[in-house]
Amino acid sequence: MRNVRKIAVSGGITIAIALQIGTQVFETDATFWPFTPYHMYSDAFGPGSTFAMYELRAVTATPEDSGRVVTNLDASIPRYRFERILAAAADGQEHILNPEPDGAARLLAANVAELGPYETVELWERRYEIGPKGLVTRDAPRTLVRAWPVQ
Amino acid sequence: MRGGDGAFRLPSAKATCTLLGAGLLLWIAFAYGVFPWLLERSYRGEGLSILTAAMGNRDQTSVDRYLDRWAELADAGVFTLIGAIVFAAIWARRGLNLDRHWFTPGRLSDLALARIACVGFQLFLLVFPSFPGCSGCSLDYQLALTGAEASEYGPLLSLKALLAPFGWGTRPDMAFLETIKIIGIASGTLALLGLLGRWSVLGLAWAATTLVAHSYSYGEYHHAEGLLLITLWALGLSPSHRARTLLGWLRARGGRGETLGGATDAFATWPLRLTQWLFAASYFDAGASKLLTSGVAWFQPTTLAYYFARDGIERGFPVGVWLSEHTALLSLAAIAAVGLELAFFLAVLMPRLAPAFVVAMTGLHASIYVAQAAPFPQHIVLLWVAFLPALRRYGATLPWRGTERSTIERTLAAEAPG
Repeated sequence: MRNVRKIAVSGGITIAIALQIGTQVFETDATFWPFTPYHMYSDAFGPGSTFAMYELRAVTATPEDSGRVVTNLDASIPRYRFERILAAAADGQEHILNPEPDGAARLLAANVAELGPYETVELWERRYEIGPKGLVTRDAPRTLVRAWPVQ
Repeated sequence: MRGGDGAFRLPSAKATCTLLGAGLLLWIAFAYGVFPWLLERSYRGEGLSILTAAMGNRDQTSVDRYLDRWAELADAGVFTLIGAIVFAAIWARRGLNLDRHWFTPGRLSDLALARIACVGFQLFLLVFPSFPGCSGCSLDYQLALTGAEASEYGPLLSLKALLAPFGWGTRPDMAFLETIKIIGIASGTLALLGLLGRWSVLGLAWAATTLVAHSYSYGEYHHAEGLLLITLWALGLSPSHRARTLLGWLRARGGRGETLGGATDAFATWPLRLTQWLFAASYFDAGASKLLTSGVAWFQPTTLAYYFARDGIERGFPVGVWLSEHTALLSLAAIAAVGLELAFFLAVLMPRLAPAFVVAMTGLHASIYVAQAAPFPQHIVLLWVAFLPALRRYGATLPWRGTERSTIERTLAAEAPG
């Protein structure tokens, strides 16, 4: 009985370690979660690198309305996936959830339509730059990247 | 393998080297000979139907693309096996013993303490889901996900397996997720007290893994929860419930027997040892991937400045933003972080180094949280739990506990791994 138990535990240990190393070597992402590779933050960034922060707003037809911020929870989409959709919409790209031309923006418009009687979707951006001595400015200007109708 | 006494023993390091060498030869024959031939045939629709089906984009992708991708995987497999052989050879040269490494009798009280710490922290995360580090523990977040389109739901393999009794690939609704959370809290409370044996620990492991796996089935996953959940499963399958229990305490108090706190068991070592190795593998991967992806360019100060600025601004953490504007020490910080990640396995092989590594990695995780708001509280708790035996032995050798020193030195000699 003790031998059987030891063989079972040894087998379990071997499988667990093989899964962990396998996910790392073959870069399987979440396929075998909770065994995952740890490749995050592995890209290098030199001077001149930039990154953008986006804000999505839903605006009604009322002229003085500045609209409301639409979050990932409003759209029932995980946070970083939502940010990727915003970035794709800014560039007019399609998205895996809606692989037609400008699909990311259409997807966001469909989400905003479910939130209320909004007429326009606005996408605002702050773009930050890393210079030779680090972050150039923390007060990057906020610019309207694009606005498009909900319908 | 059987020893002279008929007991099963793990192969020696030398035998492991031989086995890995044979595995390497088999892999080379398969990966560079058999599989590419099969892949080409399947691409033409003549080979294995499962392979043909896996190449769903055959119309738009040439066979060379598939072969190139496979060649990358084949190379990665060869390098990994060579690395394992070198590692096993060093192990063999040092006279370390695999069987003793995993199955040397360990203290049940250490394992029980690990159970209390891991169960207690997972329970805390379930009860206080706003604490950073476990998005899947929050029912508000789960509620938002259950509102997502069906096309966004891609259940992880682990979620399918855990919910298999309810249907393979089923999508849980909110009421089901709430029930799972209640089961998790109830099981966790029982496990904390050592009631219902291993089943309460396994109940918590099942509930917490299911909740987190569901939250990661919508195209996004994070790294904080995995190791703690694996450790909970290991603790549930080990004799962690045989010491430090409420019933044992009551019995001891009433003078009706004694607890098993001082006892040892051959199956009390492997769960924490497994967690140690998973830590070593994941840290090594984190360090190596930076070097393999970016080389020494990763150490230029602008790399950390970029990450600190992006995460600090996005998550509203001013320390990270401030650090991104003061780059003087960022290269040193980057070198220290990668160095610690790559060398962490030494904490497993040389237990005397473990306390230093545990303190250093705790500091690293805490710094990452302060600078980038990337929460890994599970890793901080788990580091201290996984190396508990080494930390206890080290603590007993401190100068102010000198009277116990000789005893501890004897214990150290007796309990030294491998």
